[in-house]
Amino acid sequence: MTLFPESFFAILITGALILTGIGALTLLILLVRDFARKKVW
Amino acid sequence: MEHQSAVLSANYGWILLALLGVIWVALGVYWGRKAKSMEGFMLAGRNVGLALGAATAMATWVTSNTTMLAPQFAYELGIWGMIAYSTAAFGLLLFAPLAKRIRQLMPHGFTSGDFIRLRYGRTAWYVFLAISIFYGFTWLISMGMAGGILLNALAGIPYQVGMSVILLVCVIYTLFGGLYAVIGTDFIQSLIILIGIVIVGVGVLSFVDFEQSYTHLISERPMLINVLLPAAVMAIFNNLLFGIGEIFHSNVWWSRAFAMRQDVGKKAYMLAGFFWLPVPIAAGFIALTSGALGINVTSPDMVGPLVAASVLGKIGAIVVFIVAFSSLASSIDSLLAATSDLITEDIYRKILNPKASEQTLRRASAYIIIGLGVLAWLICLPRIGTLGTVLFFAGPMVGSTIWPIATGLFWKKASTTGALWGMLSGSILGLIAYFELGWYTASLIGAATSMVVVVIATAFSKSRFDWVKLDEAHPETTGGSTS
Repeated sequence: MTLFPESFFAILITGALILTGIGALTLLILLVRDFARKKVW
Repeated sequence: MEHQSAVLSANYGWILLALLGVIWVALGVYWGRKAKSMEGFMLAGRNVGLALGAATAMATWVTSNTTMLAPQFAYELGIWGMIAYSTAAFGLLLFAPLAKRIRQLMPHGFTSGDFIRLRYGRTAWYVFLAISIFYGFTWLISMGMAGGILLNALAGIPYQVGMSVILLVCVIYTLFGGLYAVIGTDFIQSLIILIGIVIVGVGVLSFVDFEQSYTHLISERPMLINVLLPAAVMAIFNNLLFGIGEIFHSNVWWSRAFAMRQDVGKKAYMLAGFFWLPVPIAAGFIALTSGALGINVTSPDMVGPLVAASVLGKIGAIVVFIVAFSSLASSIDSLLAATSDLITEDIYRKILNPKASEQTLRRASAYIIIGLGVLAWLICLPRIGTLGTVLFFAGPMVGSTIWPIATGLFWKKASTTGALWGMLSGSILGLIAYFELGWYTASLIGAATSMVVVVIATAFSKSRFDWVKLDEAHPETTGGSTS
């Protein structure tokens, strides 16, 4: 049985958590930018 | 009676339920004041910016399944299970160019049904409406049931009460605010979901590191980290195609494409896809730490909340409750709005009452939202578990719409014959595969059959569609008459 290496396991999960956090941050930054440009709605 | 695996006391559950319900209704009513016309109510004035556009696409696609079922997928299918779930993000990514095209070709469009009617004619439109409304309604029922089951499982709130409250809250704010309320609340819900998932994930990792989890998996459940796990690999393709079919055809996504500013749709769907991609992994991996943490999982569907509550205590359970409620609300409100738009615009206005005034349409839309809520509530009330699986019947049907939609938007030669028979043959053969071969083949067969029919019909087609025909004048937006 070929198993995923531990490094892949760690990178996959760490990467997913970081990307999820970046997602939240990006949405906030975009909202601020849209507010400044008066393009929220 | 408290659910045996409840991770939060009923008192906290009731307080959170009341608090979140009041907040969503208040915000919905507040944003709903902007909806002064039918176009404002249905499409948020067609001026939605990038931040709200990306957030609403992302939040709507994060259902309670994503946050609660992803850990179960990881627990049962391991690393491939999480990756399989993540492939649903490709639906959003691939819809991005379509969103741009939709906005260009149909600047006055209202629904996905408008496109099928104008592009392929009325017979294909009827078939499409049957598929789309069936899918939208079964998704609504599955979310209503999931709401009741989840709130019962998380905090011991009786199923009927939890299900009723979440449906009622979403009906009220969608009724008052239309797409303005849906998109506004979606933004906050998407932040809650993303931040909540990170808090729980980082919290769990502070108690157990990768080495401990990995070592435990090797010794106790090595299949979960097997590179070649056949069932999970099959699930990838089915999930991918079901996801693409769901997004390509559903008015939930088309209404957002119509609602976003001209230059925003493509970017918003791309961003939403990238933000969504890691969510099933970030939310699901905690299930793989349960063994190393010594947590006895008696019910795999509750593995996520169990791990969060065991490690992070009451705070973890509260975060899970809020994330689950937000995931449910962000999907239910979108379904109510988009399905009622489809019924109001395509059935009421186009078939039953073509001369309806804006006031009449708005009233009809309100009745339809209430009607959908009541009908979903009645069907959800008896808690018939097997009803939840009805949504999976829709898999081959929505899979069969992928090619008629995609080719219809880009190929002048794509024909009515191909679209109609692609949807019919794909749905029928896909459903046969569902029963004869297994659920994991249904969307694949439905989409493949439809692809073959659409491509062959296009190759032999002599028609050359005039794109201008898609820009239909709408009496509520232009003052003109419809064709």
